[in-house]
Amino acid sequence: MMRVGSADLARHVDSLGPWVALGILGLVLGLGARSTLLVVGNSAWVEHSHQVIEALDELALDVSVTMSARRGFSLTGDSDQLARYSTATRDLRSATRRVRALTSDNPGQQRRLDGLEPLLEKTIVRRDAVITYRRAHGFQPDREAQATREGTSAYDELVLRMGDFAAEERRLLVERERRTAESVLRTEVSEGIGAGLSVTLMATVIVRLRREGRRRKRSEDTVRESEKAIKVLNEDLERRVGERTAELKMTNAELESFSYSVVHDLRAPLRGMGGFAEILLSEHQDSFSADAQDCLREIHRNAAKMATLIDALVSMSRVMRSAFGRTRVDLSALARVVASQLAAVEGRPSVDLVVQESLRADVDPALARTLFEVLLGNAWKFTAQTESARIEIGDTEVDGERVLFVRDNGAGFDMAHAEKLFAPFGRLHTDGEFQGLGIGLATARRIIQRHSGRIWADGQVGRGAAVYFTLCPRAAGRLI
Amino acid sequence: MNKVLLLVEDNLSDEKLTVRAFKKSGVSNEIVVVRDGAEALDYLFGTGKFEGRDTTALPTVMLLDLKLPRIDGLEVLRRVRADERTKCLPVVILTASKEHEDVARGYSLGANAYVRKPVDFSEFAEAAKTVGLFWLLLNEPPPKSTGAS
Repeated sequence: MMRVGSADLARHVDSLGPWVALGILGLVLGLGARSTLLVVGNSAWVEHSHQVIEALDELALDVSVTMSARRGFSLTGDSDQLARYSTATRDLRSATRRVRALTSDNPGQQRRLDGLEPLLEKTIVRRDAVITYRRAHGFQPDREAQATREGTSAYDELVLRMGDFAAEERRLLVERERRTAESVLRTEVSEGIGAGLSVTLMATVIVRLRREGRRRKRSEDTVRESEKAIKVLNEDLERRVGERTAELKMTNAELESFSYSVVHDLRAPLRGMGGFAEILLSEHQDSFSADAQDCLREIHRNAAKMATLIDALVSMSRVMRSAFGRTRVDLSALARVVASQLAAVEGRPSVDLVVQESLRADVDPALARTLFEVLLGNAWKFTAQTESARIEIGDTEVDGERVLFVRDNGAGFDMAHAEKLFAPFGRLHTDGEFQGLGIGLATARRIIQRHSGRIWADGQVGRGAAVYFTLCPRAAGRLI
Repeated sequence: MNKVLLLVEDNLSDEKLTVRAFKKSGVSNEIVVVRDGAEALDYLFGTGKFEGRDTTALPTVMLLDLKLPRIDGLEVLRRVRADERTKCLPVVILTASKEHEDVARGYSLGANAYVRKPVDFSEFAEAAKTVGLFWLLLNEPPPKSTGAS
C-alpha cells in the first residue's frame, strides 16, 4: 500500500510539476512586466519634477531680471533697460503659467502657487508703478531708496515662497527617484527570478526528456527481447510440429509397408498350403483314404479363410489410411446404387427397399460408399431367411441431432451383446446361421470415426436390427 | 517356332504352382524362371549370368511379380520399357497385391495386363490357363524387327 501511495504521489508530481513551474514562471514574468511599466511611469514622473524645477528656476531668474532691469532704468533712464524689463515681465508671466500647468496634478503645489501668484503680480504692478513715476519725474534718490526698501521686503517673501515651492518639488523628485529605483530593483529581481526559474524549468525538462528517452529505450529493448523469445518459441514449435509430422509420416509409411507385406508375404505361403493340398486332392485322390481327404479339404478351407481374413484386415486398415476429403454426396442415390449391386450379386429381388429421398451429407465419397456396402450388405445378409424382407434407409432426429439409420426386419440380435458388434471379428452368429468375418461393422465404425461421428445399433432377436450413425461432430450437427 | 515364357518369381512354392498350373492347362511351352529383378534384366539384355544369350530371341510374354529381391518388379518394367530392344515385350504383372496404387503404377509404366494371384489353386490354375492361352495362342506378338531396331 505504501509503495502504491508513494508511487501515486510521484505520478502526481510528475504530471503536475511542470504545469506548476510554468504557472510560477508566468506569474514572475507578469510581475516583471508590471515593474517595468512602473519604472517607465516613475521615470516619467521624475522627468516631470525636473521640468517643474526648471520652470521654477526660470521663474526665479525672470523675477531677478525684472528687478535688475527696473533698477537699471531707474538709475539710468536707458530705454534698453525698459525693453529688457518688458521682455522679462512677459517671460515671468509665461513662466508662471507654465508652472501652473505643470503642477496641475498636484493640489498642494497649486495651493502654494495660489499664494505665490498674487505676490508676483503685486511685485510687477509695484515695479510698473515705479517705472511710470521715474518716467514722469526723473531720477529721485529718495524715491528710489524707498522703492528698493519696499521691493526688498516683497522680494524676500517672494523668494521664501518660491523656495518653499521648489523645496516641495525637490522632495517630490527625491521621492519619485526613490520609487523609480525601487521599481528598477523589483524588475531586476523579477527578471532574475524568472531567468532562474526558466533555467531550472529547462533543466528539468531536459532531465525528464532524457529519463523518458532512457525509459522508452528500455521498454523497446524489453519488447525486442519478448519478440525474440516469441520467435524462438515459434521456431521451436514449428520444429516440433515438423518432427511430429515426420514421425507420423514415418509411422504411416511403416503401416503401409506392413500391410503390403501382410498381403504379399502372408498370402504366398497360404497359397502354397492351400494349393498343394488341393493338388493332392485333385491329382492324387486315389492315394488317400476318405478321412485323409477330409483333412486335406480342411487344410484347403482354412487357408482360403485365412486369405479372406487377411484381405478383410487390409481393407479395414486401408479405411484408416486412405486420403480423407468431404464433398456433398447424395446418400439416397448412393444407397440405391449399392443396393442394386447387392441385388445383382445376391439375386434376391423380393427385398423391399425403402430409401428416404434427398439424404445429403458432406462426407468422403469413397468411405461413404464402403459404409453403405457394409451396412446394406449386413441388412441383406440378415434378412436372407426373412419372409417379405424390408430394408429402410433414412434420417431422424435424436436429441436435436440428425441421425442416419439403416434398418431391417431380419434376424436381429441380442442387445446384451451389442458392444461386440463393432469389434473386429466380433460376431453374434455362427457360420452355420450366417456367413461372415465379423469385420464389416468394425470397418463401419472406423469410417464413422474418420468423420468424427458416432455409430450404435439397436435390435431384437427375430425382430430385426437398426444401425444409427452421425457423419460429423455433434457441435457441427450439419446434415442436409 | 519356339515360344518361351519368362517367369520372374522369387517364391519357390509360387513358381511350382504357376508352372503346374500352366502344365495342367495344356501349356507346353518352355518356361524360363528367374529369381529376381536383376536376373530378369540379365536374361533380357544378355548380361551377367546370361552373358552371350541371343537377345533378339525375346520371350513371348514376361510374367512379372512385383515384390522381388534386389530390383523390384516395377523397376524391371521401367527399364524394359526404356530399352529399344524390349520396349514392345508383352509384360503381364502377376502378383499378390491388389493395392490400387500398384495397379495404377503398373499400367502407367506400360504393363500389358495385371493379374492377381488367387490363393485358391483351382482359381489360380484357371487364371494361368487364360493368360497362357491368350498370350501364347491368341495374341499376335510384335514383329521381330520392331523389337530389334
